[in-house]
Amino acid sequence: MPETNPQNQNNHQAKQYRVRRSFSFFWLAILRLLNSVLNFFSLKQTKQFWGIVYDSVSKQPLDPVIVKLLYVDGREVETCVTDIAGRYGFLARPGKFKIHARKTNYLFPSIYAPGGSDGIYENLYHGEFFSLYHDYEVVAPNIPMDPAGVDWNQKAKQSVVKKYPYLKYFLKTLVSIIFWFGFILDGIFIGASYPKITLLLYAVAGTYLFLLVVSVFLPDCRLWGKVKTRIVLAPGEELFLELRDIKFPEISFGKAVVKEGGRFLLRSNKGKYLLLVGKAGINKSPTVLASSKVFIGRDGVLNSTIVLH
Amino acid sequence: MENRPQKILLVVEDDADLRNVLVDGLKNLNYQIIQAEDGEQAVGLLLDQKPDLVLLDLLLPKLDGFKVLERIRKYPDKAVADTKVIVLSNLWSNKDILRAQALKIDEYFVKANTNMEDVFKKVRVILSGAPASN
Repeated sequence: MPETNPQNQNNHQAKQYRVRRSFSFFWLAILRLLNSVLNFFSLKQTKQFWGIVYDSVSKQPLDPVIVKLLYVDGREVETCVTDIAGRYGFLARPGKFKIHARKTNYLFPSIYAPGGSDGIYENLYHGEFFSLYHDYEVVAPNIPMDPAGVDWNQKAKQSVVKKYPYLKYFLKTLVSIIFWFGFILDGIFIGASYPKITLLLYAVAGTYLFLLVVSVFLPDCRLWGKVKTRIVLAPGEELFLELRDIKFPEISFGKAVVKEGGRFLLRSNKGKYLLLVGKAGINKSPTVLASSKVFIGRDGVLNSTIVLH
Repeated sequence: MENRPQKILLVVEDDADLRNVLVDGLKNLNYQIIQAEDGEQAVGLLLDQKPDLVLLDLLLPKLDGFKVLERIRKYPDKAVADTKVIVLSNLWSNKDILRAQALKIDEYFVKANTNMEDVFKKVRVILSGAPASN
């Protein structure tokens, strides 16, 4: 990945192109909101933008974990390091892969958290091969790792980032129970007051019906973003996206290479950023083609369509 | 041809696996690499070996990275006080970055958002411009 400094970029080149977000942004925002509501009531298991590497006993996120995406023959496709919240992710082309995770004082694959779920985290990964069939897809299963010794970093981190996975699980279960209890109660009231059913009972039943229908037909949020452009790249060149903090433009807060077909996986923390779109090649200095201010939401991913024209 | 002494690079990282990745990647650059796994060890090596560049994590046992930086900058010997420092940390709050920048760091990389090749490139750039310490 090329290293860029927006302060050193040639302004003339930066003005050659303009970047805007496609109108699909609004649809994606609505989709994301509806998926969040359904997920809140446990009506739909939404796809996750990030995978989390976590301690299989304490359920706390782990960092820094070196996570490698590997081909079947062991060759490395990509490597990343988890952030302070244990998050990581890859955007991989069709093929057969496996993931390997490495952290001092932890063992992978986990024995303590076998199977596809441990009750708190779903979609668990234990080192098996998996295949992607169609196009570039986000690879981000949750990875449990077993503690093999006292890890100073994990203890010290509690003051910086403390997650409450068990509390979260309890609250989620409680919300789900209340949701279905309300549904049953509404049914009982409708039955008891028949045929004089009040408007309120109808409204409540209608809301339940709406949510249940939507949970069946609502598509998942897409996990990747896309760049649309007519820029023709020379052989060996690639487009890249980079997030810079508005206050600290010299520090990178996320980078992504745009894959064939325009897909990218760009992740960062919630906040406002300066998005740089540029191109780089072998033995060529990276050039920023355009820049724009963007907002990254709670999901921590920029998954909209970026039009570069 | 002048026989210049080898430049010294101090890698301070408490996670042994990540430290090994950094050391392996930097090995090819022909620097003398010394390693520390906590802040106190880092300060000891700094004063003893006077490295040309420090690659510094911030969350460290015994003495955190900020305190290591403070000790470097306040040291009476100018050769130590002016040591070049690259921070490589997963802390990325404005508060942490501002605090590190106030201590005159040369670069701040967020581990999770950084390709290690970029770190190695920066090390090369800084060390190619820095005079050797010995």
